[in-house]
Amino acid sequence: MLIIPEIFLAICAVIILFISPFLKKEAFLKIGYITLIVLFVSQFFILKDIFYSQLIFDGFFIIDSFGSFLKSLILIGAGLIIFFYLTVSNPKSLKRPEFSILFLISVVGMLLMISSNNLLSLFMSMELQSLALYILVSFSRDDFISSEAGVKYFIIGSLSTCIFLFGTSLIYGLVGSTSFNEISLFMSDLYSTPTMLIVGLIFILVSLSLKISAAPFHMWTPDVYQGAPSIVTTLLSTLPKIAAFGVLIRLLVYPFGEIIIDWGKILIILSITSMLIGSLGALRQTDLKRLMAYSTINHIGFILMALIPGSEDGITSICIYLIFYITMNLGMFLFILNMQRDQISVSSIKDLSGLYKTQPLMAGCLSIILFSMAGIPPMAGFIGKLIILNIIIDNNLFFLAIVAVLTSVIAAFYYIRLIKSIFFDDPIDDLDNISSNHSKYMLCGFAFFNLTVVLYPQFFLNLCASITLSLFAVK
Amino acid sequence: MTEILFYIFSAITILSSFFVVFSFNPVHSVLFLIFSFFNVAVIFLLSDAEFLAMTLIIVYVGAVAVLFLFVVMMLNINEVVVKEGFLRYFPLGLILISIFLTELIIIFKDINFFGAASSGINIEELINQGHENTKALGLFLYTDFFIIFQISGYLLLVAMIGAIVLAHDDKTNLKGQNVYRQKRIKKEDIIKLK
Repeated sequence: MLIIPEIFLAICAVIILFISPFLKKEAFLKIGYITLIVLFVSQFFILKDIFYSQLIFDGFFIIDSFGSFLKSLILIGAGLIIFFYLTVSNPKSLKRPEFSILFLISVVGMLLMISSNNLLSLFMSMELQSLALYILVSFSRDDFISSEAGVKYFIIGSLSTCIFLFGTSLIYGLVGSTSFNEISLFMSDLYSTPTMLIVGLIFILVSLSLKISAAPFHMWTPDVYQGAPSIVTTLLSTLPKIAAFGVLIRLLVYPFGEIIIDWGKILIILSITSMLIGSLGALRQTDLKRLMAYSTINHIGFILMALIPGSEDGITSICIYLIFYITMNLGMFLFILNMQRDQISVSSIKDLSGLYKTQPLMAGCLSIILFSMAGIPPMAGFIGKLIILNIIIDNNLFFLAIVAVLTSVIAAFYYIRLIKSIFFDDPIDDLDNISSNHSKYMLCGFAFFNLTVVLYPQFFLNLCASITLSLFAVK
Repeated sequence: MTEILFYIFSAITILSSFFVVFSFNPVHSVLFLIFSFFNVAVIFLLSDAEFLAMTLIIVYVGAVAVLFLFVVMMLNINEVVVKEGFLRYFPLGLILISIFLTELIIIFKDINFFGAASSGINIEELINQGHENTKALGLFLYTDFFIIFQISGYLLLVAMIGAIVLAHDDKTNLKGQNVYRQKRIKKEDIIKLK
């Protein structure tokens, strides 16, 4: 039985749900720590079989090392986010045991998403993941902004579900099966691709773009990121993106690999618009969380670009970029989670001014992470961007490379503006010092990682290259 | 005989669907919607798909349409406001619909549905073996599609947790009636007016 981590997590979530009413004092902390342990154990289950590959449940799910790698990445991220949740001071509305349970369930959904090998199982697991996320976004329901964000996310998410189902039904009507293997067989027998198959694929791509918030389907992102509680925004900007990218890669490379000419064009449009909107939209933002939303869109555009050649090294570079993207985002959001003035959370860019004078160490760490996001050498973000650009140029997509570099320059402007305000502006009103030592150490850790990746990039290259092999072995 | 019945019921369905759109009172619209659901259910029965007919009535009439009715009655929507922009947006809507329709017609024109691969679900075979179609569907659902069935059950659990999380309010200082205290109260404790 290779789907043990998912089953284990799902059963544990139900058990925790039963335990939670019986814990009287500080229930959310106890449940949070149990969740952390559960995530740890399932990480062990995944690492045990990481080089294994098999179809399970009548081909509804597939276990391979590409999936296992992304799953373990998601579990690491989930563990870190739960740890953030336990160590930073949360608003009272988040101090409920259901938070960790819903979090765990959405992680189950993401893991299932990555290993699905059938449009039907993909749909179910995607719903499981998003339904838990809708609830998490509107978790502090007494807060008007949070409920508004929840409703927005829910409506956009349901729309994306409808679009996905429509695309699936078109493909099912044509192929007669929703299994990836059957679709792949069907494609290899054809002389010319029927238009309806491409229309179906376009619908599925649109729905997945809504999930990864690639422009022009990004409209919900800034509002939802701003409205959701910060810890949920941390979750939204990292883990679901990995899961959706896993699905996108598996779907495009395996069953639809034959029509790369058709989906390649769509991805070119998606990535160019995402990079442009992500960099231009962020220029006038005053709220850090909104800024991070646009920064996410920009990064997503960059990652999508690497998928266009559909080659093995392209996907390797996506895996590497995802690792770096997660460390950068987690570091940045860890700071945003700790931004408080007189015990009240703030998140505007002005609040950062003069941080250097009050907390020099934190200011240093934050600026390393920001430099990394902007892609300044020798930080991690630069290495990720370098590898992707290298692949784009190898495949003679010069126009795309030029757009990518130009938008990176624009994006660098707003990251560096933050650094300028941290170091050179006069402090208006000091932020509270970061009280929890855990947060300080972790922020230093993220900064250290981003700074020193340049010393051992080969490790990540080899790791990700050996992982992506499994994806192409199926073919 | 079946053919005549089919035409009768489909005519009623089409007619009542028109009334859903054109009736002025939203409550009437919902009632017509329910009526057309029933007619579609009969059409399903005529074509030997009794499971679909049952699901349609249980799910759509029993849950969805009743929910609609509740929402319509609760919100008390003013019909004049709903129909206000109709004429203004009608031409644009017509253009968009016609573009979409032509595109779809072009795509669907020569398509061979279920052409190449055999369907994963071979219901016909099961029905030929003498199972009725509810039983055949059940056999598939609990064997081949077992994992999907389990995940959907889990999904419903999440929906339940979510509804409770978002709606449950554990305020302790609510003013409520404590029956026990009320019954236990003694004659001496009651304030008397002198």
